[in-house]
Amino acid sequence: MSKKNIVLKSSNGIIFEVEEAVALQSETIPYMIEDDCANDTIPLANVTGDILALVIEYCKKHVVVADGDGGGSSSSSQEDLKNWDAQFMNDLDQSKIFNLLLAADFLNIKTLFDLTCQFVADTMIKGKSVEEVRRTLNIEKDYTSEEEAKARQENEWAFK
Amino acid sequence: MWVKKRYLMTAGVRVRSSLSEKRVRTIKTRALEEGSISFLPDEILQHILCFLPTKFAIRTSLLPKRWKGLWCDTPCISFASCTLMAASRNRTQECYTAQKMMSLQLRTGQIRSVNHINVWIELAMNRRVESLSLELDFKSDYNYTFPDSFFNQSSLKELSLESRFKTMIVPKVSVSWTSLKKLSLRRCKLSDESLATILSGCPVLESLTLWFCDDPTVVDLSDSPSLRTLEVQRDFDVLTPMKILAPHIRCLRLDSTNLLPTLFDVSSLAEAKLSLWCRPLATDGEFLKVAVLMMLESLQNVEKLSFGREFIELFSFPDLLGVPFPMMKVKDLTLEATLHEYVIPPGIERLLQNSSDLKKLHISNWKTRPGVRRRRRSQSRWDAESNDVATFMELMFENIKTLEKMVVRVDDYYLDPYVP
Repeated sequence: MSKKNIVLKSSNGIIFEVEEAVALQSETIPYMIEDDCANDTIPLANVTGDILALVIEYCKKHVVVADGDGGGSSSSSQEDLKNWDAQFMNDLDQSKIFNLLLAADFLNIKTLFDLTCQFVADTMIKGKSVEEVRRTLNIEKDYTSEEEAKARQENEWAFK
Repeated sequence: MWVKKRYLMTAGVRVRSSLSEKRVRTIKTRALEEGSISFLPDEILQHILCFLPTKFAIRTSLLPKRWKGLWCDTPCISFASCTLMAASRNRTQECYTAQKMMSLQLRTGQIRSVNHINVWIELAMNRRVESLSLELDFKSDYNYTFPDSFFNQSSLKELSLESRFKTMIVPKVSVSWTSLKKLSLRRCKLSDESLATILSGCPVLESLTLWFCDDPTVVDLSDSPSLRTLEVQRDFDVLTPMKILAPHIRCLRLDSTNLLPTLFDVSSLAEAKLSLWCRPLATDGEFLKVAVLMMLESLQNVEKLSFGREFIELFSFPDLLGVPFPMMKVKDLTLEATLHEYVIPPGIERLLQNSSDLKKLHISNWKTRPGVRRRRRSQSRWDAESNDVATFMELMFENIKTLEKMVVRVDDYYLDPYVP
């Protein structure tokens, strides 16, 4: 049986052709296919080509391949996937990470969305003071000193 | 063009009903341009906060002003011992406004924090929490009583209870966890009666883990028709045999002492992984013989089997020599065997001879004898070990005609011949 391919088009017009199983990790794409676009190109107006390339790289790695006995991936490959995920996230800069987050949300790919959220939480916020998070995320302070003092007081224990 | 519209009607509305489409698009476009976290919509920011201990989620309220109230609506709350006390003293629960909770994680060992635990458990129950994880490290002489509402929660899907010093679980009311799919009890003290009460209240349970629990002797899952996965790890020092009645389970993982649990009716079992904590003792050969044969008989129809190292030794136990093994239907067999030079343990040999449907064999731990292993490599040693593997292969091919795939994982230097 020949494998069916799906053509995706990024917001800046870049075309990607992927196997159906890879694309169907997105819960959004099936709605688009249902709309009789199966033979057509699926336009993804909110995802740029470089980010779509990352999404596809992730989906290709995570597509579940039956091993012939009806079983899925084994526990060792679970471990491999985890290491791959860590490396995949580590290689991205902040701007790519946030855009990937938007793309995973838009395309509704739950595992990629969770992975990215977890990465942001673990590497940019957890264990850091307010000032450190502001620096890490390039957030400008828009509180006045009095407002900040008052806000700290509300849950003082969390800032110690 | 109407494809795009459809997306906005389906996925878009589902994901973020509270935001207008226009605003979503504006936020997205700006984020794409600027690549900064500030432009992510609130729903995404809140999802990030779900992955943080609540202390750090609260800290984000001081980043840009826009984030101020975000943590209050985050559906996930997580406290460790000290933060639980501090948060409760500060009445943090009063500013927590999420109407629906997805998860609550609490970890504490301080008896004086009991009231605070109960406050958060009850709050989570009121907000229809779906996943609850409690790590209660109270000293063993303290009897913690769960709030009644804990045992009666129809929204709960996952429950994990762990205690370092074996907290007793006694449901004083009837249990009603009508949506619970996954139950994990680790290092809990649990009578047969309590376990039966709990199981009777979980009609759709799919997975049960009993890890070092002290010490139910009967695990009766015959009235749990959805239960597919059972994981039991018994403590080193348990002295009572365990009976497992599990006609519906498909997957079993059992780590035991040499007091093997007796499996009654595991007729649906397709996959089993069994190991022992310690080498079997020669104290009661007859008992072991009966236990091992009963276990093998219950596993006769299992297609995917994995035996730990000590288990293999059990098969080779002197009292079992000469006793006929049952025929096994296993197709995929994993042995964590320690195979020595030229010697195939008789237990393995007999198991393989009786597994006539075998298609895949994994041997995951081929080692040389302890002591020999660290010796300097030499050409003659490499030859000896190659012979070792070859002898084994020959035996395999003689015995098993159906074998399609064999994986033998050996020490690295088997694959790295001596180079002068």
